[in-house]
Amino acid sequence: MLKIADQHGKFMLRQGKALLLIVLHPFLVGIILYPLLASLEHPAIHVAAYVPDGTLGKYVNSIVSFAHITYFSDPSSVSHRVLDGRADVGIVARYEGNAPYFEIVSSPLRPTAATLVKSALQLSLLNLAGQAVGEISTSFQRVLSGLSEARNKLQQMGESISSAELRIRGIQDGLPDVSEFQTYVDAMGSYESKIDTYASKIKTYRGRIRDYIEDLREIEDELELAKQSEGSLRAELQSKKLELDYASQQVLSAENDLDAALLYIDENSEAYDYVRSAQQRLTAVGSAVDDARGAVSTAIAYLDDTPIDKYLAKVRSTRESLEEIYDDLGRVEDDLRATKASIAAQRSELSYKLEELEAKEQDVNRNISYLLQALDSAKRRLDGALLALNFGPVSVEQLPQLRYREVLRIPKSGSNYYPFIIALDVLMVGLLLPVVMRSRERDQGIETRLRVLRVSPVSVVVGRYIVYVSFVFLQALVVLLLGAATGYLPFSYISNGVVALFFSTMFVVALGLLVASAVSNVVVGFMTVVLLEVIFVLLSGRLVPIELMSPTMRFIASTSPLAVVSAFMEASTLVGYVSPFLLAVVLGSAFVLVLASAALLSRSQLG
Amino acid sequence: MPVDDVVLRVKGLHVRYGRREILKGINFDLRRGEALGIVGGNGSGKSTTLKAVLGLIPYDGVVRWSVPLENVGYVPQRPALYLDFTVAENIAVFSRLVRSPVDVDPLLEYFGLKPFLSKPARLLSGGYQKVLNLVLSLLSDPQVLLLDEPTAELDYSMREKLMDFLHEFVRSGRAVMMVTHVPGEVEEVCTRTIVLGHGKVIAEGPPDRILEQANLPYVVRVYGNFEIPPPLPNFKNVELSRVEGDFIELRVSYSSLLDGMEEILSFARSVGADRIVLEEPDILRAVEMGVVK
Repeated sequence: MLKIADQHGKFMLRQGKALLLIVLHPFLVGIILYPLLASLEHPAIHVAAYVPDGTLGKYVNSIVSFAHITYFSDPSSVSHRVLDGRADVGIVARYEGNAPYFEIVSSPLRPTAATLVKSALQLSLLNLAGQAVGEISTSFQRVLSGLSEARNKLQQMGESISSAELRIRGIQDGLPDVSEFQTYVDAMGSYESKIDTYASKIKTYRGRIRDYIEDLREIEDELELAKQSEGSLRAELQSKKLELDYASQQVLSAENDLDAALLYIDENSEAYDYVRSAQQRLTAVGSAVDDARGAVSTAIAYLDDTPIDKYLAKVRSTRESLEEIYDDLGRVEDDLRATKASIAAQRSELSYKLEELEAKEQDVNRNISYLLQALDSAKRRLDGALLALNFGPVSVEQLPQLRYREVLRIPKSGSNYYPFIIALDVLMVGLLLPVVMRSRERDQGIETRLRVLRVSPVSVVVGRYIVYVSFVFLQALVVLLLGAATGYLPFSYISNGVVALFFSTMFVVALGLLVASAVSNVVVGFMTVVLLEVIFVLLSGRLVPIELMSPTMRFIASTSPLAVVSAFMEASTLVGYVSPFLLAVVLGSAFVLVLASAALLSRSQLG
Repeated sequence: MPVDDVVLRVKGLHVRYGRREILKGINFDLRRGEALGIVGGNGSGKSTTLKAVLGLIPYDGVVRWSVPLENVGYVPQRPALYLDFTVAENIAVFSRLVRSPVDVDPLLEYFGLKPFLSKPARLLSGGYQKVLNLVLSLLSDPQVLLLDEPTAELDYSMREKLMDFLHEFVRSGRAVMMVTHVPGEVEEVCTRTIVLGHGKVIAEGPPDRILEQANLPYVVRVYGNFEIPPPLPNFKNVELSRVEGDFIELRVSYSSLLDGMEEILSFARSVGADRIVLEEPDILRAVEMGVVK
């Protein structure tokens, strides 16, 4: 038996790395666990706070002794920080009415932090209330002593207020009537329009007069011309008359001559006939000359009868009088224009004054209204004060309030654990599968053959990655869907959960590939995975609250894959929030891990 | 041999596992139309040499291939194949990976794998797994074939087939480099041999010349009933090695085989021996005996 024990002991001691892991395991766990436990004495809670008003800071500052506070400018950032796992608890402070109101944003992942912050805030509120009570009690005596004096003063004030009210109402009644000014302004406006009408009429008249004057001038010119032609015509007519007189005389003498001739000429003779005919013709000429003389005389008489000078004088006097009227009207027009300008100036002045008056009136009315309201309120306060003085205090200022809000809404208590279980499942399968499969491939010489066939390590790693991600995702998807089907996870967020699950799977499988590329055989791989998972579970915050760890341990714990994937799954499945921060973290890590796996694989020794 | 025929040149090859130096600066060439055998004792660095020249392990020194590495086939000692895939699936998978130009049917026929195409590789015998391993290595139509103990676990007929195949392979102007532990294999296939000892090349040349230099004796066992040891004649070319109840072991030197055999035959007849068994000297034995220097 001892020989067997000896032989087995030697066998065990020669298991190389596998044994090394077993031996180192407690030390590794201890390295994590002891600082975790030791760090319990140095709690440092990370608080994300939204404090829009500086006066609220005194309440939030009450937790600085045990917390690191990071301030944000909007409440949603606070929630997101908590959901990302980058803050243990969130505080959203604001005023509701006059009362400070604090909302605690907490996650089931950080129960201790929420409790501590709630307690601290409650305590600070109680302290403040206690201080206030002390101050109130000391000042209460003074208040009481002043109350009786105040009562008298208040009564006097009440009387003063009543008289002030009466006076104000008197002032209000005595205010000038602005509407009268408006009438004036309106009348001036009508004058202006009337003046415009007159001015336009005058302008029309002046135009017409101007036309008449022009016509008269033309008539005058024509008359002047007529006057000038009258003289020449008269002279001509006179000369014609003289000529005709002479001709008439000639005709008479010719007639006489012819008579004489006839006397001498036998009546039967040819000459007699000739002379007789000549005489007849001459008689005709003489009658014509007489006619002409008559016509000329008529013309001269007509000319004598025509009063061109009279007309000319009349036209000229008419024209001159019209020109005077025209000038007069021009002056009237100028006067009207000046009058209109002065009326307009007066009107604008009146309008300005009217506006001023209206503004003043409004101002006065507003002030009066305020005064009346103030008086009314003062009266009511006075009434209240008097009532209070008679019956004691009736109102107390509202105290600060503390309300709680769970960021992760929980339909059932098991819901808190379901995303964690999914994360654990993804982590276990996602780490184990690559390790086991790679070890089997290595043991079967497949890796050697692939290397000899010059297949690039990146192709090998990515090829495996695609298969493992698909498998791990599908099996975890079943768990997720079961969670939704059994009501542990809200069905409305299932699509967000699927997205988070897929990217989490990518991250975990990439980590599994790295472990698989680093280990030499399945036993070492299996033990490494188990060891890693123990450490990850320790650091997940489910065994030791993360918020109670020291800053260094917090950093390690919050970057542990299980904590990251767990926070990602919880936020996505319970709240429907797919954190962009965690998405970037898992995708970036997956990319780096896959490349690191390929680099490690290309350097691994194969045989 | 022209320099152009050199497909692999190795100079000052060093390989270390931690502090241990497995290869301590070995030099050799591999040429077209040549079958190079690498022999040596356990831990002498034979397999390590193969892995190093293939780049499967880190090394120092110069390893220069004049053919693309895609045209170098490697037959590992342990079958490198998907044990859960059928023979056909294994061939299909790796053919697709290397875009194989090889018509694999004649090879399957030759090595007798055709009846097992639909059988999972796991269920094949060790010998068939070995030949499937070889077939997979030939899918890329390699110009050089590196084999690590290729005949281990093969039965006689399969071993003969493999030897014939390697002969043909070399005769077609390609090259073979093989590590072996099987007695006579080097002499049968290889045109040149490198003997490794403690990470160094301790002998190099054609197998015959190495054997001649080693001058190892032929071992002859004369079987019969020798409960009472018979009187031994005065051998001139034969040396007594040991006497047991059922055989007498004698040694004849490599250079005086004919004369020695005549003496042994007359002795066997005189003592009424049942049979005689002759054991040829081989390089592996010479290496084991440390007579190769």
